[in-house]
Amino acid sequence: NMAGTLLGRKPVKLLQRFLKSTFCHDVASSSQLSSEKIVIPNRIPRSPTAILEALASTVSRDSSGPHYKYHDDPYLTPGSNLSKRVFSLSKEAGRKAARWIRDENAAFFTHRPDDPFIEAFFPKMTYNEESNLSEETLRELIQKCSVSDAITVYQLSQSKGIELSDNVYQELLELVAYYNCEDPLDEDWVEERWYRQGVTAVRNTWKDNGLAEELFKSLSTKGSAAYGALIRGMAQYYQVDRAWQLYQECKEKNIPLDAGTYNSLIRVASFLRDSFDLRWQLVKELLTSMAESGVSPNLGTLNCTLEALSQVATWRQAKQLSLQVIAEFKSLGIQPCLATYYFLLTIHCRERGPISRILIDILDHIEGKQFEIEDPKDTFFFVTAMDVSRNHLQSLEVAQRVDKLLHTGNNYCLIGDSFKESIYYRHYFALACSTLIIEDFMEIYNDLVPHIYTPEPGVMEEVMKAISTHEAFEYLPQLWSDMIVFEHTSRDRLLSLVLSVLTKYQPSEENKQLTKQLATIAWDVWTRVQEQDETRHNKVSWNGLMIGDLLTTLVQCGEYDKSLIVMKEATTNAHKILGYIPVNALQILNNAAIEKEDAETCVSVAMYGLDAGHQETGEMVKQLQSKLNLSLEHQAKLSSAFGTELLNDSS
Amino acid sequence: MLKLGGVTPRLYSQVLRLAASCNIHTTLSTFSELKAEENEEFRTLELRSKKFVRQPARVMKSHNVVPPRYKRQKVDQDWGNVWPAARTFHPASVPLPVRQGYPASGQVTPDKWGNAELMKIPNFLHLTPPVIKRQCEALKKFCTPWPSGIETAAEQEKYFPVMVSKSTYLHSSPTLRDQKARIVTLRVSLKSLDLDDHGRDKLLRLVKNRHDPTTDCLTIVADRCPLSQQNYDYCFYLLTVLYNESMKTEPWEHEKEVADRERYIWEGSPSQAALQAIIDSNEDSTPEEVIEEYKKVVIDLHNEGEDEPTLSRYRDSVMKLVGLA
Repeated sequence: NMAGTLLGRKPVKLLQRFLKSTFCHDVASSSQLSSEKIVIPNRIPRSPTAILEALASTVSRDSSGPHYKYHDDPYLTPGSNLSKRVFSLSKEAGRKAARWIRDENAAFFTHRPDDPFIEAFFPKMTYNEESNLSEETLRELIQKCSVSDAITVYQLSQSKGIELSDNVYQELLELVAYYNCEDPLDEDWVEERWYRQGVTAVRNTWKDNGLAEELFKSLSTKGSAAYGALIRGMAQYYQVDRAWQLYQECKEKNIPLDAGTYNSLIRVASFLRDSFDLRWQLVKELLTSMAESGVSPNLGTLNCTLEALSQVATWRQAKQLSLQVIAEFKSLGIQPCLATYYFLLTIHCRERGPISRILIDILDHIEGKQFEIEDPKDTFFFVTAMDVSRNHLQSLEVAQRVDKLLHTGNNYCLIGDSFKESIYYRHYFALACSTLIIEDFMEIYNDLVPHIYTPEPGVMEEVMKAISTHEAFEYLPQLWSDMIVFEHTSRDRLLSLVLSVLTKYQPSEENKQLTKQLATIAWDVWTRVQEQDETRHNKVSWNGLMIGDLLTTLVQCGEYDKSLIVMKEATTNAHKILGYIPVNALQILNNAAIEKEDAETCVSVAMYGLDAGHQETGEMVKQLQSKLNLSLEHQAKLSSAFGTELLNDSS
Repeated sequence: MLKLGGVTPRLYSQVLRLAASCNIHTTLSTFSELKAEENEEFRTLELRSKKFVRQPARVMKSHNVVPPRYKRQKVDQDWGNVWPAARTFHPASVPLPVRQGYPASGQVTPDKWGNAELMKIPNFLHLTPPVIKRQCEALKKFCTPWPSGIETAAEQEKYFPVMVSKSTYLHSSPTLRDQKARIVTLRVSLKSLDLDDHGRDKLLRLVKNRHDPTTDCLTIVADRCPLSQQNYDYCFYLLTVLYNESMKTEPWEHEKEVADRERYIWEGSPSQAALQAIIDSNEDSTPEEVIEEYKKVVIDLHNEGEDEPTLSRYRDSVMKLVGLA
């Protein structure tokens, strides 16, 4: 038993060979090691966090609970898309506020117990006239990519007259050109990055005659690195004319450029020429001049070429060319990444065009592989693939393959941001809704909703339509409660759809409970709309069809009294209801009233029917008269409304 | 409420302004009431404010709450994903209807919702057998096979008699370091040290309470150096020195007196002399085993202390010796 009396919580036992050398002389007994050698295998080298990573790989996402960033409590779990967004962003706003307070009161945060020093916990250094500046400070700031601080330090050092080497100027030029003199969104604000929509308008945002160009001018020798940095920056921010000018300058002065610069020019080739042919010609020119200069192309070249092609995708030759490009680059040994496949999909799977099965070929190629981010446009692949499976190929099988790929290893990181994630699931969901039978679809529904994906109202409408088609009414209570949680109850289209689905239900003896539940739903719709705040700007207002469906449902499910309340409200506040209650609803109510021998209701129904101008009102009155004995008052009312001939006819 | 006839609107509004400037409370309701009466001929002038009308309490909007998590969980779900790490008991996530606590009189055992008793105790919901199995499978790739030839405890003791242990600590706090990580413990069984009597006695005197008599193990703990490597070296240094010192015999060790002896030695003791006297005075020769027995019993009495069994054995032996047994 090798368990020793040990201190501490996580003991690490080491078996140590008894050192022969510690023995001296006169050792009588046989403590010699036997001739049989005990071989201890070498320790398997592992990184400091390897064990944690191995244990983490045994855990995957649980769809019954909220995302771990939310507090795990039933009352604090967000249901609708809006509340998810609000919760995460407000939590982050708190972090931002904390950081602001810390930076404002930097004098109070001097306690430093951490060893090694954690810079992120400490107030940010501010640089002003008094601070001790040197080239090293500027270098560090450039390394940390704090653009505004670097610019401040640069300007301060200019005013103080501190000498800076050309290397630092080059580094600063690269930084400023890449970020266009603006600070990027801090990497700590993960939620804001997650919810920010990455699609920015394609327009020229380059700061003309800004710091980048100033730095460029102040460089003593404008070498290929300087030109490269400036061209790349200008191309990134769509200052294409100036970028092209600089490129021409380089050509004249025979300054070599590197692959990245050529890539950025290829990307914006579409803005430099008008017709499709000329654009492709320009791209080919750039590629040939790249080859002539002896610059070897890389993955970026492949992606930028395909991006240029995707911008001329309506051109007849685009598809053919894209395949040729891929083949040629493969022969050079450059493997495509997810961004490449994304561009291929945009080129081949167009809305108006022949169906292309390229996605299936792509999936065959990349199934089961794990991907790392290699190009910013990698995140577009999964959304586009799901879009193509839904709209272009309309195949759930392909969609499931894409989904499986997404959930392989760490590939989920490549979903991009929340917008892309929601669109991805929207396509998947809608495709599953239209393809699968209702039971299978509800399985997917229960898995994804509400924590991984909350359906938008449009998607919810499709689900309701599917339920209506399959007449799967047992799912309606769950869907209604979900709709309440998702805050869809203020959408009149959805409400009217719910009510119309409810009317299709025919109650029977076996499912009394379901009948009750559906009646509750109908009544809940009524109460919610009635109890709306009067001053809401997008109020749901009743229309005749909705009231009709409501009445039908209530009567069919046996809630006669409630239907009377609805009818009363409809007659007294008829001006609030758009349109008239359809006649079949009135007939159903009338029949129910006759059965209950409720003459009052029948009379009011008849009056309403007359107001509405329904032809069948006369029939209803006749039926009423034949079945029930009317009091004098009722008879008087009816006769005044319908005329005495009608009454006399029936008697 | 005074009703003044013939008050013009202008005068009326002036009165209101006067009322406001004199801090006379005019509620909105009275104003609207008055406004309604403006069209009539006679308006009422209110100098005293109406009684405070209690507004109805604000109706709190009930939030649309998602049902608790356990209701959504399938019966065959993967529990390891729901409860991946040690966590305080969370009733909404655990699908079991557990109850704990002493019930109030006439009540049932308190259920899991808001149950402090359940939250206080440690739970092992993160270590269900399937999860343990899965984690072991994941960790197998870091493990090397156990070396052959040291399967049994005896072999381990034979080839690796010394055991050194130290702890490392993982902190989720600003500082990574923990001072306790420098402590190194060395354990060795004295059997494997091959000491003779003198050596063992000397060693035990040197180490005092670091020796555990029940397990016959020497434990050396070193924490005086800042680094564990230094403490480790120090432990082995101590072991070396102890062993060497206990093998040596110092010249002054012969001055060891009877009182210094770690155990009672029969030879040359007064009890032996007394026994000899008794044997000599005895006419019949006392049998050998009685003598041996007495010797043994006296040694036990001195070495193990006086307690019920030793005293009773001594008494029996003496009785036999004296011939009364």
